[in-house]
Amino acid sequence: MKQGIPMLKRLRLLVLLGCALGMLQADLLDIDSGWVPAVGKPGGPPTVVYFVTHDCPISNRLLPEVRRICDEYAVQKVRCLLAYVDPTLTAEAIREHQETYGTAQPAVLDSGHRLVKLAGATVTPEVALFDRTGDLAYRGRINNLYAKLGTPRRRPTEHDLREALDAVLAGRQVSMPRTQAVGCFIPELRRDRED
Amino acid sequence: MRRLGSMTALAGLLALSSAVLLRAGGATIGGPVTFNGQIAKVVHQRCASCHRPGQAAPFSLLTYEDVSKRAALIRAVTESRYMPPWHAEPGYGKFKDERRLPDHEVELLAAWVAAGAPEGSGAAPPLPSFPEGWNLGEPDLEIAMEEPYTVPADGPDVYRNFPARVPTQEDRWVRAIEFKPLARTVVHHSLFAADTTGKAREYDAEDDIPGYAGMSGGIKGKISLRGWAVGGGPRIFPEEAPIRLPAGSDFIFESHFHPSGKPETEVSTVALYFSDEPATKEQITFQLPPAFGSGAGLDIAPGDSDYTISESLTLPAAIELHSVTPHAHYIGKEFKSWAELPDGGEVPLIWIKDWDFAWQDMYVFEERVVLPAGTTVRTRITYDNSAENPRNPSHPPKRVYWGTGSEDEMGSVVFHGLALDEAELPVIRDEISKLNKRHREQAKAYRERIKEQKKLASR
Repeated sequence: MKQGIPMLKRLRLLVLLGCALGMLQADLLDIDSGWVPAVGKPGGPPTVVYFVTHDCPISNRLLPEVRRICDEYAVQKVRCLLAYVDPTLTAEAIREHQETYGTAQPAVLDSGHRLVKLAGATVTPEVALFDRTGDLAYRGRINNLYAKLGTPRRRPTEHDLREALDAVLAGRQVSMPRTQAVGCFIPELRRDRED
Repeated sequence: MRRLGSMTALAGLLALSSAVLLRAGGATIGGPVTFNGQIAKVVHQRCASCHRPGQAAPFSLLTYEDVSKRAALIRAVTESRYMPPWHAEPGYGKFKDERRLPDHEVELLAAWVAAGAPEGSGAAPPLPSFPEGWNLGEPDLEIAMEEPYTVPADGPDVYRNFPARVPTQEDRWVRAIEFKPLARTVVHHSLFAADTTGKAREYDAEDDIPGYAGMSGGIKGKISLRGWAVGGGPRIFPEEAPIRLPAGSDFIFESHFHPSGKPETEVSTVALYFSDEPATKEQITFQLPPAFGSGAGLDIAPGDSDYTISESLTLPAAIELHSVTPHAHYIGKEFKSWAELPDGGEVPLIWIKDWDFAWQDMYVFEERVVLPAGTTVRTRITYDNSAENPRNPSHPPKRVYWGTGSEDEMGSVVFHGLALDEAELPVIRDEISKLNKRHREQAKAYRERIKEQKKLASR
């Protein structure tokens, strides 16, 4: 009987279940496992949240680098999370996008922009790095591939996210804790979609 | 309660800003700016030819949903003039198919976004209809890349050239050409040429990967058939001067790709439209400086943000200019071409203040520009080889010379035109040849000088 429930309904069911249990982050269900990531709370591993728009060319162009960073830092127990910010996306569309770009990291649909607000993200691709205490240690660009919209460098010359990760893992202060990411603006939620 | 009051005031302010008076096409309009009211028309007319399914642009801009969720982005890119892509300075040369957004439409979009991107009452205007298949109809011949090429997911841009056999039994005259990429998100531009030397095919055979690398095709004596860049349409040549496509030659696609984050497979196709009649006039092509600047002595020191080259040609007889095509690589900064008439007058031809290699374009004059005998055509090109130039491919900057690689530079404006009187063609050609010959000699001396310089530097 349970198998007969379509995926979307199952997700909704989990959301309701989550709400019923008093989980405030119910809209952050991982699209595959139903797991609710605790972001910005003490006690967890350093966490990189990568804000994604599925049809933003800059966001997509940086996905291979995100994949590399996530793979390389996984050995140091860094957790990666892809946060899709377009509330109209379905779990199916997210899965398809991940397959297309070969990203195996956990993905959430940030339909209520809870993570967007928590991190203060304004564009995709922007990243937020939360340290073990749950503090926002870094927010901004992944690297400086794009100087501005329409002006990519041949290769990036500054690797801000990697430097921030190295600092957090070494227990150091991030030297540039905030940078300006270049990409597609995250649209404000329509009233009916706000929490 | 106070909060509610301030919210009401804010709403009032937004309503006011959306009702801002705007001058549209010379007329002042009032009232709220809405998607259904004004914005849909602007977006459909200016953006949707590329921003629709199956086209080069990354997302569609057709419906209210499409446009409203990207409102802030649309405002930013139209105010910065990144979109629609058009790099010629307004008022300096008048060109066909100009993609520049008029100022009042930029203001209209900004006012709409400031007002919260309202949909407005009523229905949106119907979606425009776009032609299916080729814009110019059934072609006389289609030529496609012989093998698919896979553009990698990641890494620097790719410049690759693909020869494809021209299957005609006799020479044909091309009056128009249209381009269709398969992987629209990664093909940025493609220049077309016909090669009768067999060189392109030899280069292609050097490795197992389809095509061969390089930014400029690397073939001497190839016949240019112009090209296509994102946002561009079919190329239509002057009626009396179609371009010869030799039988059995190789058509070369000289293509520039942007990786998109995932591997993409490209098979480009061109549609060729032939003229029944051979050319009654021959196109005149000259470059300032000639040969993409190979004899212009390019030697740009690292850190130099304002390196300039210039060249001129005085016309022995009248010509009418049809188009101009500026060309440089990454650190090209500014292009300016103008004509000084014998009576002292000046005709602006093209001015690009912020050259962007990514947007190669041929600028076709709205009306052919007639330049009388005795006119001097001038071009000035500047380069920015500083570390502050984000387009600089070398980090830190290094000394830059002329060359075909992406870290080398080139620089010229290619002019296409016709003799006003075909009988004068030989004297015009003669004058162009003299300039070209001088540059060939300069190029030879330059190559020797640079070789010495590099040898000294390596010691």
